[in-house]
Amino acid sequence: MKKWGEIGLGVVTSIGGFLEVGSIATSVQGGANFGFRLAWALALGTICLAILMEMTGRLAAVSGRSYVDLLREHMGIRFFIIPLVAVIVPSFLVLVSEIGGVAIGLQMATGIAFRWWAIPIALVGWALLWRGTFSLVEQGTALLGLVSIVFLVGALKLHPQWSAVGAGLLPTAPSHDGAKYWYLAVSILGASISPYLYLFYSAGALEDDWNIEYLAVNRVTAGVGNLFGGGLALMVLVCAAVVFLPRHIEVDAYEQIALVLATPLGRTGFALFLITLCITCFGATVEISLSGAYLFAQGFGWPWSENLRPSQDSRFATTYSLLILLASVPIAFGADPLKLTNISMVLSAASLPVTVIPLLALMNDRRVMTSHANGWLGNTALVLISLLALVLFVAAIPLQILGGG
Amino acid sequence: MRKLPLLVPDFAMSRLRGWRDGRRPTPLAVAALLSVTACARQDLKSELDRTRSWTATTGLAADRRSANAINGAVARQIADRATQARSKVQQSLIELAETDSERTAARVVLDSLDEGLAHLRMIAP
Repeated sequence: MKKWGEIGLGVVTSIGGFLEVGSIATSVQGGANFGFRLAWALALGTICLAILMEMTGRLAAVSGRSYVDLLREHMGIRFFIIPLVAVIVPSFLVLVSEIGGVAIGLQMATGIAFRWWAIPIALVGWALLWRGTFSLVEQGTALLGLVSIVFLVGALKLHPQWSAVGAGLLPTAPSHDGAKYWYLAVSILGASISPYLYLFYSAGALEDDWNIEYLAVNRVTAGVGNLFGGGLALMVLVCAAVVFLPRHIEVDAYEQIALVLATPLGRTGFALFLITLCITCFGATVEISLSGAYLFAQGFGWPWSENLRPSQDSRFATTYSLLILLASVPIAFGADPLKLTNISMVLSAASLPVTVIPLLALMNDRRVMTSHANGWLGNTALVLISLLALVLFVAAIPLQILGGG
Repeated sequence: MRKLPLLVPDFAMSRLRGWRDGRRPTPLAVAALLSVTACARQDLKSELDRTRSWTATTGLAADRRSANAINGAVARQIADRATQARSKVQQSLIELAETDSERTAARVVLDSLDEGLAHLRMIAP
């Protein structure tokens, strides 16, 4: 019974924590520019994320150690510097974008310029990290994030052509603006498969004391939670496709995105959109700060846990404090949150190979995984994800230049 | 030869000057010129599309504000963003529009954005 409760909570937190600034912005831009035709990118990204989360969760539950910890031990500290830099740079930019997302939501609610909100948001996030426990940080923000179900309500109210939505799940070549189409596809994939997501999940499994008995919880949480979370992101794309595409509105600013739910749901939809933006971006802000601190602490062998007092893991606590406070600076100086979001999503996509490919080796190491190593199905999936990661690595930056406009 | 709207690579220009002197242009020079001209057309189209997008946004924002579906702050922020976008595209439209019909098209889309902005500012002062 306790297990079922944990599964339920895991699924619910996965749904509530799925949307954030990147998935909202890229889904809206995809829908506004190409209707339902980029739905396949969301589906592909969600499937890849579910597989990576299941594997990093399984790795943590079986070995009792996080993916980053094992990565450093198996590959050596010199190799570890590559994923460290490749993950921390885009993650930091995503963190800046998330703070920007909360700030722009508060600007739209109050009329006070977003730059004034950056430092207060960082301080509130820092206080939550400093005083809170892992459960509070993860489950608290994710449960509040369930408000994002409003996108499902909005999509149902807009009566889209569901057959066309279904057709969008199959990749098709664009009829116009090829560079922009592929750029948005890469952005959507980058938003869906950000490395911080599965690194955070792996560390979270240890924070929650998962062991071998939690493999079923892990499988259902990663699979079902992401399935529904990805479904919500699809509803964002559907809303944007129905509201913006017929009006030929291209999304260049967050203020335009605010209209997406105000159209089907009126004032309530507008208010819930602002709440969704603020809560989901705030949740992601604290999670990315923690994820960055996990990366450093696990990589360099420092004591770490969000459940410890800061005095017991001072380097870990100092790292997340610095990350969240530094990330507020660009927004305080007026950096454009939407442009930052787009750039950070593309860089996230480009950084995937350095964390995905080593996972293949670890998931087949029977000294670590014992009888729970990958089978042929898991390996095939991971090889395909690795190939996709390599394609994204090669294509992401040129597409940012050609299609990012 | 008509003045080119964008910077053309030096090697292409020197080849084309040679053409006027009676020499045949190399395929590379022709390709470079065509691609630059195509880019200019593409840029003009994308700037016109962007302007139309902001016109549509101001229209939708005015409609939603009239229905009290969005607050005045967001309506004003959209008007400010559209004004910023207008000042950015105006200069590039002047530079990119080469023919009279292109200049007329640019004028029309800018005028309709101005109308949309005026309407939105009236609803959300």
